[in-house]
Formats: sequence, structure tokens, C-alpha cells
Amino acid sequence: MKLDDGIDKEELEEVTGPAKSYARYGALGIQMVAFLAVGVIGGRWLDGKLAWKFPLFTLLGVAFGLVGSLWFLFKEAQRK
Amino acid sequence: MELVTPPIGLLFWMCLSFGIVVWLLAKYAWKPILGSVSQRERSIEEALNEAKKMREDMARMSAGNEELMRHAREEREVMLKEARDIRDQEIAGAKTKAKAEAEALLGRAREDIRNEKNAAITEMKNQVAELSVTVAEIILREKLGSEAAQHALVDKVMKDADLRKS
Amino acid sequence: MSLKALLPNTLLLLGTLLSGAALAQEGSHADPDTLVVQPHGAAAGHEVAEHTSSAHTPEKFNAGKLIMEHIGDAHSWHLWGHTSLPLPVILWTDKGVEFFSSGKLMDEHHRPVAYQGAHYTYLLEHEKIHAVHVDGTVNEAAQVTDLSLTKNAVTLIAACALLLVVFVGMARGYAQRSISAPKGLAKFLEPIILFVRDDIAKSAIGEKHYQRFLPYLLTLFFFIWSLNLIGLIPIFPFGANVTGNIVTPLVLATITFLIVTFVANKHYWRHIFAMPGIPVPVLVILTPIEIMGHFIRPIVLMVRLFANIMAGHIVLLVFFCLIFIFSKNGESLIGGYATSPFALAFTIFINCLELLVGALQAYVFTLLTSIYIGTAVAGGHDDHHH
Repeated sequence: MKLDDGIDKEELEEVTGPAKSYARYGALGIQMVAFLAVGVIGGRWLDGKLAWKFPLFTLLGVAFGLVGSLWFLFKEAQRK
Repeated sequence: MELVTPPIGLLFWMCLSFGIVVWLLAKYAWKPILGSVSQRERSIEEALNEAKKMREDMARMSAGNEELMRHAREEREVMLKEARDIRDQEIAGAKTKAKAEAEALLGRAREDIRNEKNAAITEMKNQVAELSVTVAEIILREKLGSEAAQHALVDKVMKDADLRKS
Repeated sequence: MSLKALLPNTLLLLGTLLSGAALAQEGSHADPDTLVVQPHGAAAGHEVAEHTSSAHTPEKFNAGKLIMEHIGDAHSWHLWGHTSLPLPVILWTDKGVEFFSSGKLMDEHHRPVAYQGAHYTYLLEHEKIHAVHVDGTVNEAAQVTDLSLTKNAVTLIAACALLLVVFVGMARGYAQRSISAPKGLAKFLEPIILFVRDDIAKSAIGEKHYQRFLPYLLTLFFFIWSLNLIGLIPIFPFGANVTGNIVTPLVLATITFLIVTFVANKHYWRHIFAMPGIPVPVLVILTPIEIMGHFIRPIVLMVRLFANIMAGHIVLLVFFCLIFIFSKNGESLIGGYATSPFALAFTIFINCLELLVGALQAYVFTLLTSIYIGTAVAGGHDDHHH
């Protein structure tokens, strides 16, 4: 369909389609990294505060970050 | 690390100017622009609908016209046929009438001819009879003369009594 | 590629070429002057012993420093060579407000000097203003908040003013022409506005709610885009790296976060705190993750814009700096001449790419904001994710 300003809808779709995917999946990637980072940094910070021998919260943080990033990956895959 | 530490001054100006710009643009730019854009879209849509309706009307009207035309054509056909029939009838009637008249005329002519013929024959008969009488009269009179005179007389009479003359 | 898209490209190319000249002078910004402390005009007697070393050793070309200076903020606007435009300094101190020109904080050789203000003595060091004692040590007791109109702040305000002029003017034009087709700049901008409205807001938020957020989304898009473009043009009134400064993405992402948090409906919160159809033991893990997700998404938004624009600027500058690195700071002309065409070509190429990236990042930021808002206002029936 030709719009009145001369922009072809399909042509536009060809450009915005990849841009949309780029936005979505790029965001997903950063989100996964951010989750891991938050988990690791938060865990390390807690461990630093508590000063235990075993870095329990770092490990928990990593696990949390992993589960979180996978969960959002799963959610994104469920979309559509 | 310095890159990701937000400087307070810029933070302040950012919040201030972005806040103001959002507010002012929302009020004095986006609202009227979007308003008139959607108004235009509405009017375009209305115009399109109007055009569509008009097109449909036209289609309907032309369909009506077609019907009318067809009707008229049919009517004309019927009328023409009627006219043709009438003409044919008339011609046929005239023909029969003329034929009958001619027959009658012919019949009358034949009758006349027969009558004339009869009359002529009668006349001829009468004349022959009269002539015979006259001849007989003359012969009788001549008988009183010479025989030769009598013959001459007969010849003469016979010559005079040319059948065609009578 | 249409003609429309070519025009800004050409402009950018021109800008890049001009930037070559500007940066070349920057690169040879080696200051041969020796370290001299000069008393400063009106504030005589309060001059402070210099204790910055980096600024005053005879400068060698330092690509890292140059890049950092270019992507960072500044209290004065470097024009060319030794000329820079002083900008207003505004300080909020515990004793009151200070207002003076940033020219007072440096001498004619661009070296920091102390300035005696009304309340404290100030020294600009590494683009940070400190209150100092007479001997030059930092006055820890003084509370100074720097609200100066820095290069970025000035650009920001100018960009806002530009947006206002352009779009309010456009709106006025619409009011005059009523519903006839747009003309001039509006003809170019209207499709973009419609694009933001239909392709971003309406498609991501949904028919029912998108109109409420349209003013914010439109402003967001044009704000980021214009500042990205301004950052790409490397000559004077432009060039400030505002969107690549952490503040811009931070503020914008925070606003988005606040909007999402305040407009989110019951459906959204239920899916965060107690996702339907998930057993309770799993919820114990899932709920913290979902809460985390609520906070991380705006961070993603922020990181994305910041990293992309920052990276773009750095790559641009790195390619340009190659000329100086290969010419060994002007000593090896052959190296310089041999590399400069390539470096310049690359710089131009990257600049064109950045032009695209500038628009793309504005689009991405607006789209992601719309998607986040969309998930927050979506009803229970018409959204597809769980």
C-alpha cells in the first residue's frame, strides 16, 4: 500500500523488521549480561560484607544471574 | 569509571531541560500536530468513503441505465415487430383485394365479351336472315326477268352483301 | 537509497572533512611553553601553585587523552588551536551561588589557574571544579556543587530550543493550513512523526493505550536523534557528545522506568509477583528474578544508548588518531601522508555508519521504551507472552 507521503509500507517494513529484531534481541542480550553482572557483583558485595570463608553469595549470585537470564531468554522465545 | 559517573550539573540541566521540552512540546507541538494529522487522516478516510459510495452509486445508476436501455430496446423490438406485422397484414389484404377485384373485372370483361359475341352473332343471324329475304325477294323479282339477268342479279347482290360490311 | 537519505549523508561527509582540519590542530596541540605560574589579573595574590603535571609537561600526542577529552564534557568550548569559548560557570556552594565565566579558570595557554570567587577560591582540574585553599590544596570543608553550563549542557539546551522552535513552528503551520498536506520541513518530519506513532507506539503499546504516551515517545525520539546528529558533526556549534554522556541515557531510562512503574496495571504486577500457573516453590525463585527484571530493563535501555553512542565516537576518533600515531606526532610525514587517506576514508565511512546508528539508536530507545510500557499496560487477554 502506498501512503500519501510516498513511503512504501512494505519497503518500510523491510527496514524496520530487522531494526525491530535488532532492538529486541540486542536488548535481550544486554539484559542477560546485566543479570549475570548484577548477580556476580551483588554476590561479591555481600560476601565482602559478610567476610565468610566460603564465597557462598557469589555462587548464589551467579546462579541467580544465570537462571534470570535464561528465564528472560525463555520468555522472549515464548513471545509471538 | 569517570565516564559512567553522572556529573550533577549536567544531570540537573538534563532533568530541567528535558522536562520542560517534553511539557512544552506536548502542549504546543504534538497535540496540535497529531490533532491536525488525525483530522486530515479522518477527512481523507471520509473522502475515500465518499468516493467509494459515489462509485457504488454510479455502478448502481449505470446498472439502472442498462436496465432502462434494455427495456427500451425490447420495447422497440416489439413495436417494430408489430409494425412489420401490420404492414404484412396490410399488404396481404391489399393483395387479396386486388386479386379479387381483378378477378371480378376479368369476369365482367368475359361476360361482356360473351354478350357482345352473342349480340354480334344474333345481329349477323338477323342480317343473314334479312339478306336472305332480300336476296330471295330480288331473285323472285328477277325471276320475272331473264334467267341471265336473274343470275347477274344474284351475283351482284352477293357481291354487295359482303358479310364484312354488315 | 533515496535522495532524502543522501542529503544528510553528504552534509555529514562535508562535516567530517572539515573536522579533519579541526582535529589536526588539536593533534599538534603540543605546548612548548615551560611551566610558569602567572598571577591572575583581578584575583592577584590568590594565585595557586600549580600541582597538575599532566597538563604542563611538554605534550606528546596522546590519543587516549584526546579521545577522552572529545567524548567527555568541558567547561569551555574548544574551537581550534588555542582558542576556546568560555562558558558560564555556576556553582552552588554552602555559602551561596557563584556565577562567573570559565575563562577565569584558565590562563591564555589553557592552563588551570585559581579564581577567587565570592565565597571560595576555585580551581578547575580535569574538568572538575574544586574549592581550594590558598596553597592549592583541596578545601574539603567547602561544599560545592557544579551546575555550570558546560559544553554538553549548552548543547542540550540549544537542542531543546531547536526542537521547540522546529516543532512548535510546525504546529503553527498546521494550524494555519488546517488539513491540507504539509509543506517544507513538516513534509519531511511528518512521516517520521507518523512512523513513531504507528510503527513504534501503536504497534508496541497497542491501539488502546498508545495515545497517552505519544508526547513522551515523540519527544524522546527526536531528542535522542537530534543530539546524536549534533554529536556527529565535529565542528564548532556541534560536536558535544551529549547522548554518549551517561547522564542522558540515565535520565531518559529513569523517566521510562518511572512511567512503567506508575502506569503498570494489575496484570503486570501479578505477573511479576505471582505469575499465574506457576507453583509456589518456583515462584520463590521467579519472583526475585521478575522484580530484578523490572529494574534491569531500564538499565539495559541506558547501557545500550550510552555504549553505542560512546563506542561510535571512540571508534571515529581512533581512526582519526591513526594519522597522528603513524606520523609519530608530525615527525614522520611519510607515515602521516601514507595513512591519512585511509584513516580519513575510514573516518568518513564510520561517520556515515554513525549517522545510521544515531537514527537507529533513537529508534531502538523509543521502541524499547514503548515495548516496556506496552507490557505494563497490556490487558490479560490480548498479550501473548506469559
